[in-house]
Amino acid sequence: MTAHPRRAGRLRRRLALPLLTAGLLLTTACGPEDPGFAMQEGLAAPAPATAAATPGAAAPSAGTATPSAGAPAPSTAAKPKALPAGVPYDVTPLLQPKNKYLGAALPGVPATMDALPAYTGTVGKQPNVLEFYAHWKGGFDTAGVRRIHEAGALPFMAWEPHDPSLAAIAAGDTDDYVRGVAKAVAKLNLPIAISIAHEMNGDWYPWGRQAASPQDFVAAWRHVHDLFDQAGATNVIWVWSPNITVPAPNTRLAPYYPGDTYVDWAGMTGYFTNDGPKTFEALYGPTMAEIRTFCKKPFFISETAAEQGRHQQAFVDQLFSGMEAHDDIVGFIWFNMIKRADWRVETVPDTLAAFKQRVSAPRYGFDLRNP
Amino acid sequence: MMNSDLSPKNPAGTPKNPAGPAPEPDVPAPRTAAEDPKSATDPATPAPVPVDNPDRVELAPYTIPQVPAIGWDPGTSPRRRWIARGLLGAVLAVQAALSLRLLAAAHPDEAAAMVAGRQQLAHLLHGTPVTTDLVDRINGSPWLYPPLAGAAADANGIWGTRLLSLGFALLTTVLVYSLTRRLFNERVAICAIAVYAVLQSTVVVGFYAAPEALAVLLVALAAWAVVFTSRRHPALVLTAAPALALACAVAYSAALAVPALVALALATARPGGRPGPAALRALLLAAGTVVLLLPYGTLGEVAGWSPSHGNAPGSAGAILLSTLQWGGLFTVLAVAGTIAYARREQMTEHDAPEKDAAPTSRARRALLGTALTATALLVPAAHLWTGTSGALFRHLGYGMLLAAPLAGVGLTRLVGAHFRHPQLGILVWVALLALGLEQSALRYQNGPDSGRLLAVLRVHTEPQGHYLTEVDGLAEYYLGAVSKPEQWVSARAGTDYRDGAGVQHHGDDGSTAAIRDGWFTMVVLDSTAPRATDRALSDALAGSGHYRLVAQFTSPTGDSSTYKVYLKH
Repeated sequence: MTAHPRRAGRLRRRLALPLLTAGLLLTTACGPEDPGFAMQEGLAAPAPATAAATPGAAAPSAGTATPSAGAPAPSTAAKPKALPAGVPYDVTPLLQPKNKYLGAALPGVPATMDALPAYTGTVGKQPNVLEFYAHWKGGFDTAGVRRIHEAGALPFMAWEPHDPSLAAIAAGDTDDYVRGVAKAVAKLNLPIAISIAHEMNGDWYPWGRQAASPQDFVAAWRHVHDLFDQAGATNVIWVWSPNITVPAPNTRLAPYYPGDTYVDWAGMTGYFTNDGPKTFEALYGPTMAEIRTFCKKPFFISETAAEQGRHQQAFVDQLFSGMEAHDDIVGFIWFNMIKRADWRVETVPDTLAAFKQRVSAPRYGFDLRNP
Repeated sequence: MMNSDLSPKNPAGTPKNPAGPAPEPDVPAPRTAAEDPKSATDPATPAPVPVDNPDRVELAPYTIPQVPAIGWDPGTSPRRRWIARGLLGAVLAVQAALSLRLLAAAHPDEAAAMVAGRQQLAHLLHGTPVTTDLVDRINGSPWLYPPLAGAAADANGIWGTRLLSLGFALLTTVLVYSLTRRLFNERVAICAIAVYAVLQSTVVVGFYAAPEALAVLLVALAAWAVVFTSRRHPALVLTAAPALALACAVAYSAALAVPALVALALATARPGGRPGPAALRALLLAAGTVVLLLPYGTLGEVAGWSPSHGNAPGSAGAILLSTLQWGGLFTVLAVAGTIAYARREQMTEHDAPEKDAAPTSRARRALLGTALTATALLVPAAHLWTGTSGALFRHLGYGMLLAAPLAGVGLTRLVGAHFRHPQLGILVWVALLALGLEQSALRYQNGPDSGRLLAVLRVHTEPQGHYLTEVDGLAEYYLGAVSKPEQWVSARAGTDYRDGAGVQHHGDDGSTAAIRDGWFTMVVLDSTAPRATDRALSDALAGSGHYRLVAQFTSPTGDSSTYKVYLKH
C-alpha cells in the first residue's frame, strides 16, 4: 500500500521536466517575436550605377500622356529608370522644384481620365498635378492614383473626413482604415500629395471650426501622419490646406498648424469672386503673411478659380502675376468644374485665351522625374 | 579527479568479464582437465578430500564461475574513447551545420568590428591612421579582436570573419566536452555538449563576427585550465589567469564570468583537503587576472563596462521573457543537475565506487554546481539591473557555457541509470534543438530590413556628404565604393562639432548642434540606439526644419525596432 504514493511521487518528478519543456515551448510560441536583425544579402549588394544617379526617379509608364507644345513630355523626355528594389520614392526633389506646378481638378478624375486630354488641349499644356477628393473610410483608389501618375501628373488627394469626427480620428477610431491606406500608399511607391480636412478654418464643412477644435485637427493630422510613417509611406507630400482668411478673419491659423515635421507645403484655398478681393495680394496676401509668422514651408494654392463676370480675365492675370511675384509659391490647382458656379476656364473664350497665354510660359509645368 | 556518475576505473576486487554476462546457472558447465585432473588420469584412485568440501557432500556436475559486481565495464577503454569522440564529432557537425545555415548580410555590430578591424590592422602593419570612430563601438580592446576580424574580412569579407567565429565556437565546444569529462565522465560530457551546441546563443555567436565569440572560447579555456590543475599545486591555477584576463580584454562582458571561475577554482580543489589551499587557488586566480588586466588601463575599462553601453534599452518583462525563451529550459536543466548532483554524487549503476577518489561533501558539490550555474542567472540579472536587452543574446553565452556541465548532469540523471528513460532525454534535447533552430533563424530574419536601408543610403550618398548614423558600421562596410568611412559619424559615439559662433560641442550635444545647423546631409536613426541619444536627435531633427523623413523601415514581425532616414533638403 505504501508503494503507490512513492511511485506517484517518482512519476511526478519524472513528469516535471517534460511538462516544463512543454510550457516553455508554449511560451516561445505565444510570446512576442525575438527582436533580431533582418538582412537580405541580395539587397545589401551594390546597386546598379544608373540607379544611384537618379535619386527619386519614378517609373511612369510611357504612352498615356498627351503633352502639347511647349510642355515637357513626361512620357517621352526621359526613359523611365527603375529604383533599386525596396527603395521608397524620395519626394524631396518635388518639394521645391525649379518650375511651378500647373494643377487642375477635373471631373471624373481619377475614376476616368477622359477629361484630361480635352483640358490639356484647351489650355495648351498638360497639368502635372491632378486633384481629386476622397471620402474618409471610402477606401483608397490605388488604380486611380496610378492612372494619374501614368498620365505624368502628381496625384493630389484632398481627404475629407465627413465621418467620423477629427477627435475620433485622433483617438484612433479609424486606425485600421488609415493603416490600410498608408500601406497601400507605401506599396504604390509613387509620389502623392495628401491634404487632410482642407479649409478647416471655415465653417462650411463638417470638420470645420464649428465642429472641431484646432487641437482636434492637429491631433488628428499628427496621428494620421505617424501612422503613415510607421507604414513606411514616406512618399507623401503633406499639404496643410486652410482656406484664405478673408471669409474667416477672426480665426487664427497658427493653432491649426501641425508643425514643420508634419507638413511639406502650406496650402491655401482661395477663389477670385466678384464680391471678394480683386487682386492677388488682397486675396492671398493676408493669409500668406499670417502663415509666414509660424511656418517657412513653400506655399501651394491647392484650389483656385475665377468667377465669371467682367473681372474674370483680370483675375486670371492677377493669379499668374501673383504666382510669378512669389518664388515661395510652388504651384496652383485650377478648379475646372461646375460646383455652385461654373469655374471652368474654357467657358469664356477671352478668359481661356488669357489663361492659355500665361500658362504657356516655361515656368509652368515640368516633368516630375526631373524637377 | 572528481567523483563521477560512472567511475572510469574498474573497481578493485571485481574481475572483469570481457566475455559478457555470466553463464546461466542451470546450464551445465563442461569440466575440463585443468579443473579436475585426477578424474581424467586415474578413475580408480579415490579423490582427495577437497579443502572446501570436508564433508564430501556430493557436488553438482558443474561450477559457477565468479561473476563481477556489475555486468559491464565502467572503466576507460579504446572502444569507449572512440565512441565518445565519434559522438563529439557528430555534435560539432550539428553545431557547424546550425550556424552555417545562417547566411545573411552583416549586422551593424559585425560591420563595425570589421571596419574598425581593417583600420586597426592597417595601422598595426603600415602605420595608417585610424579614421573611423567605430573603434569606440567595440566593447573590448581595439587591439585584440578587431585586427583578427579585419584580417579575416580582408581575406573573405563577412564570410571569413564568421568562419573565424565558427572556429572559436567549435573549439569552445571541444573544451566544454573535455572539462565536463574531467569533472564527471564521458556520458555527462556528451550530454553537456549536445544541449550546449544547439542553444541560440551558441549557434548565433558561432556565426557572428563579434568579440564575444573569442571571449567565450577564452573563458572556456580558463575554466578548462582551472579544472585540469585542480589536483595539482594551487599555484598552477595561475595558468588559467592569462586566458581569463585575455577574455576580459577581448570583450569586457567576459567579466560576468570571472566570479564563476573564481568559485570554480575553490570548488574543484582537491576533495578532502584543507580549505586553505582551495581558498588560495581562488585568490590566486582572482589576483592573477586582476594583475594581468592592469597594463594599458584595461582593468578600468572592464570595471567601467556596463551592458547598457551602446545597446538598446529593454523593459524588465522583455528581458525576463527573452531569458526564459533563449535559456530557460537549459537553465532549468542545469539547476536540476545541480540539485541532483548535490543530493547524490553519482547514479547507482555499479556498486563499488572508485577507491582512489575521496568522496566529496555535499556542500562542495553544491558549491561546484552553484558556481557553474550561477552565471546563467547573473547575466540576465545584470541586464535587468541596467535595463538593457541589446546584447543579451550574446552575453547569455557565458552563462550557458559554464552551466553546460551541470545541464549534462541534469540530462544524464533524467535519462537515469542504465538508460532507463532515454525518451525523456530525447524529448528535452529535441525541445532544445527546436528552440535553438527557431530562435537562431528568427534572429537573422526579424528586425528592420538592413538591405533596404543600404539601398536607400546608396542612392543618397555623395562623395562630399556628411552623414550621422545610429546604425553603425553597415554603411561604412557596404558603401565603401561610394563613400569613405570618415564621412559617417557614429551618433552613438557622438559628434565633435564647432558651430558658427565658434563654440565647440561634443557627444550628443555636438550631434544636435550639427543637425540644427544642417551640417549633416543625411541622418539615420535606429530605435535600438540608447534612448537619450535617439530622443535628442529626433527632437533636433524635428526642430531644425532642414530634414525630411525619406524612408522608414520597421520590422515585418512588428517589434519596435525601426530605421529612419532623414535627408537634408
